[in-house]
Amino acid sequence: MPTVYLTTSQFNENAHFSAEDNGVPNMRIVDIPADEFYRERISKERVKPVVAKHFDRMITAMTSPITAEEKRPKKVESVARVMKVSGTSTEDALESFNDMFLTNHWSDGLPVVAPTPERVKWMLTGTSRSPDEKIGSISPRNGMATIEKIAINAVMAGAKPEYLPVIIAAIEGLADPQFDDLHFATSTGSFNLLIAVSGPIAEELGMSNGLGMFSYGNRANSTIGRAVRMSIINFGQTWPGVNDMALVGRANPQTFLTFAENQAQSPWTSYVVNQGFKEGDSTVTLSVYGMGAPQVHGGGAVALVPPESIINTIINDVKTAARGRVANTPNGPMSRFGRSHGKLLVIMNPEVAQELHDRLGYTTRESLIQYIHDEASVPFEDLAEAEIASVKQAIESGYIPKERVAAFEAGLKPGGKVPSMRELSNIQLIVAGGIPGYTLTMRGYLDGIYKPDSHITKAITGQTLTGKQGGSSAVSAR
Amino acid sequence: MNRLIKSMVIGIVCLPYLFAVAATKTDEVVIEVMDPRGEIPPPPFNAPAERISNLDGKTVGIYWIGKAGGDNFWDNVEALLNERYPNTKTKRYQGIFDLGDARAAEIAKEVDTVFYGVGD
Repeated sequence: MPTVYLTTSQFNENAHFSAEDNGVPNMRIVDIPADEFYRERISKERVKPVVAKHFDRMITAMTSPITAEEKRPKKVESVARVMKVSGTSTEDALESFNDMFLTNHWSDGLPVVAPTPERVKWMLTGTSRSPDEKIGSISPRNGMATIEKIAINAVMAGAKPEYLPVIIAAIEGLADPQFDDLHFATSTGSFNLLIAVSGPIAEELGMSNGLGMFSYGNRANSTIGRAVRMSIINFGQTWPGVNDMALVGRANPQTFLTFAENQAQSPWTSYVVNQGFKEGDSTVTLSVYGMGAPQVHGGGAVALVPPESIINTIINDVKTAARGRVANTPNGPMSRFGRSHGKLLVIMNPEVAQELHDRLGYTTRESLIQYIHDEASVPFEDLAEAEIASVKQAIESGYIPKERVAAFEAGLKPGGKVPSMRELSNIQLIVAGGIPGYTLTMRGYLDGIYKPDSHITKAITGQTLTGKQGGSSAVSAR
Repeated sequence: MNRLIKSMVIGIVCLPYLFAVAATKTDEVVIEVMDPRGEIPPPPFNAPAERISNLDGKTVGIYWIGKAGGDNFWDNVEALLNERYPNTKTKRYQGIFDLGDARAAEIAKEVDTVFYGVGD
């Protein structure tokens, strides 16, 4: 089918990459200058001259015969596995190396450590896994992550060998076909990634999990996150304004928000157990969150805020986000209640968690989430007709999982309550931070946009330098 | 006199360092670094489909991902097509960024050529 691909100039390079990656590198692409299109798209009249100006290009692309050159594959450039960089002094050579890597879009804008064969070999001492083992491909360009390639990127990030198994597990999460590693890394919105490490390895690596857990100054937190970013750059081959199209960029771009669970001060079992792994295992969790800044709950060091009010705020947020408002449309009043659910990441301050456990009787994390679920459910009598209709549609369409249909149907009767959460796993709660501290909630989409999930936990395996070696097989759980 | 002796002493002390720096500058330092990129296996090559020679009597599909303002652009494209090629029909489609093989096959049955607008 003769096709012409239309894009704006801002997305032109991205479109060419996409065509190349899908086997049509010479696809006919017409780009409309961004500064002509975006302002004028506001009305049909204003954008008319833009269309008139570029219409002939569109028609030519559609009707001019395919040339011999377009019928030929493009040459694939190959790069040697090991490259040589020279200079008149060590400093000069290192500067040339950093310039070359940045110019080629192989680093993140900060100087990187040179991945010499010796240093990569040293990095690989942190894992028992074979350097040739393939982990999977990373979006958007689907470069293959192998253990050796991950080690190269870990060296560049400044990591130590004992961090490598954590970094490998994180890349396993990115490469998992269930996890949407495409949208957060490329979207025009500033969606982002949160990386949480749980289990004994976090303490063994000295990861920050208390006061200032998101701060600078901790090598493990900083370089584990940075190695993940470096891997996305080099396996997914992302670059800002090329195919990472975040219009204002992404917060914490070099290191992501990377932290550890504060198990020592948590009253509950480790998040490792919550995610279906064995106590004593170590895991890394990847979770996509949205553009908005984290919502801060609690008074920190300056105010007393009872945990009850923090939980009530979360309940109201869950309810409000799920119900939205009933909008009048040409097809009558419409609601999205029951048809669209978000994910709420709760990074709970240990002081609040201890109060909830000791004083208010939430002996498990799950009991607290169940309480939030129940309280955020909406009485049938409070529902608008459009909301009842949208919940019914959600059930009929299969959006509500089979095992949850009964709960939703029970809510659609007098005296019933319709859940605002599709599943209990809509809330993910990790205890972290110091005392005093703040509890943070971060919103994200529940289901992935391009792949099923926006949240994944992977077991950390193959450690050679930290106490727990091995671990259970890598399985994922929302 | 003291100043002259001091200068000579400083000169003698510094001489080896000056030679050392010069020698370093003439030496080339080489660093070996490993390629950090993941291999991308090239997909099977497809040339663009042969074009239609003109639009007269043809059906042109317009696929758009539905982002705000894009309809204003495509409405004008459709109007210009109808104006310049009175015998040409247009058919509009809207959907997600990747329309998928099944939908692509359906559209291919209905039109002769397609404008595919996905660039946000």
